Amino acid sequence: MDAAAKAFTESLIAEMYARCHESAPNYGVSADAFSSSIFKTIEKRLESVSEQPLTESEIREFLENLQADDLFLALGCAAGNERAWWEFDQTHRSYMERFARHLARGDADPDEVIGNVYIELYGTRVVDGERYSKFSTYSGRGSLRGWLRTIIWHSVVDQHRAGHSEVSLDEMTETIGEGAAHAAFAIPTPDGDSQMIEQVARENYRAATVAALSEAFSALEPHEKLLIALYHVDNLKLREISRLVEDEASPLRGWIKRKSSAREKDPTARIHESTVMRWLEKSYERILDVFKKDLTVRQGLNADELEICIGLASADLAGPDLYRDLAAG
Amino acid sequence: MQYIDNIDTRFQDLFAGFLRDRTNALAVSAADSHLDEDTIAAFVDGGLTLREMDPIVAHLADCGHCRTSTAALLRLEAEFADLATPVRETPVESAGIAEALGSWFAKLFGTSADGVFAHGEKSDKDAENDTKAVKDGQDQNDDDN
Repeated sequence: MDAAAKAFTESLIAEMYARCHESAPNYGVSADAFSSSIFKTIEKRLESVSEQPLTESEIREFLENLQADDLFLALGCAAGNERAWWEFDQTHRSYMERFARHLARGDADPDEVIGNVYIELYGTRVVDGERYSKFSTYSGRGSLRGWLRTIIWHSVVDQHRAGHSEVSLDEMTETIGEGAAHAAFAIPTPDGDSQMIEQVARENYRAATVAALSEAFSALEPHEKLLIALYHVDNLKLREISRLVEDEASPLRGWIKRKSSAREKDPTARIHESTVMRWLEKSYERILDVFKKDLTVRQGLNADELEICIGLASADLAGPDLYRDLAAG
Repeated sequence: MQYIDNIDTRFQDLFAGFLRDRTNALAVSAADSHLDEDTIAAFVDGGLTLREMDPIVAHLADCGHCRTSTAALLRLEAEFADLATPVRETPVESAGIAEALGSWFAKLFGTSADGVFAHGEKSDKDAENDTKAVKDGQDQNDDDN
């Protein structure tokens, strides 16, 4: 960050600090601590992700999106300020308890979860002679309550896994069952020449299919991969995905719109479930197109063989073999 | 399995399986470089700028572990939205939590939770808020009754 950008940032942070300090003068948060925390986040989230110099509008947008009051409270709590802790407890504990109960659903002890979270928030670990508070990891980029939900969720997962060491994160959350159903080709046991020949043929088609799928996947933009994965791997409903992007001010929505030139024509259009469905359909059309072209043009398969590839894969949706091949490849 | 119209469902199954397996394969090699809780929370909350978004979306597209957490939190946010509450609350705490917190505050500040709160300085604004919170609580009780 050059000197001018730094001075610009410092002046905006100073205004934010003045507002926060006026609202909560007893939290014991110094201007230096407040400013240092924000500059650290700017370095991590803005400067390190791109070689392009930061513009004043980017800095302003970043600071306007910052949950300054929440960050101010978190910094006070991280430093062990009693008044800040009192405010935090009064404002958020009941919410945290209800969320923990909602989340635990009889599977974990919500009281124990909240107790553990409080201990983690205060911090019992000492690093370089200083107590390490979980609050020090809060950057103010999202709401404090959203951050707390994430902390509590991980605590519930940890507690659950401690009692069910064999259960994966995915199985615990019952979201996707990764590791349960794999789109792989079962390898039949050879039994005679004809079966051996058939197996060789299957292996060839199998290898061709995996290669074509890899090619199709690599043709996707990251946001397309994310949308498809959220929908088809993590089984989020269209309504849940559209929540991410329905708000006109949603950065993810802006991000997707920026990546998709077709939607530039109407940047203010609302995004409903049907819109997400269309996005997914377009992505799938592109995947299917690349997949077919790879098999027919690059690998020289005919239409019948292409059907065999899809048919073989669809008939053998069992076993972790594809994973093995991908990991090996 | 949910399907998208106009696309061969066999191909959707095939591709979804490919993504799952790819996710598992990558999870083995990327286990040490997951998004932190602050980043995931900010993404779910929608609090990030466009410049911040690129590396996070790219990571989520490839990392099943982080995407599973993100998807679960997105679902929970939707489920829990109906239970949203006022900013300042008068908590009805369980005996277990009250007891745990009491002893925890004692360890933390060398006194009981009541003691901590009794010693906490309050500004005029805080006092007003507290009065309002109590009044809101009474109103709520009246409504409940």
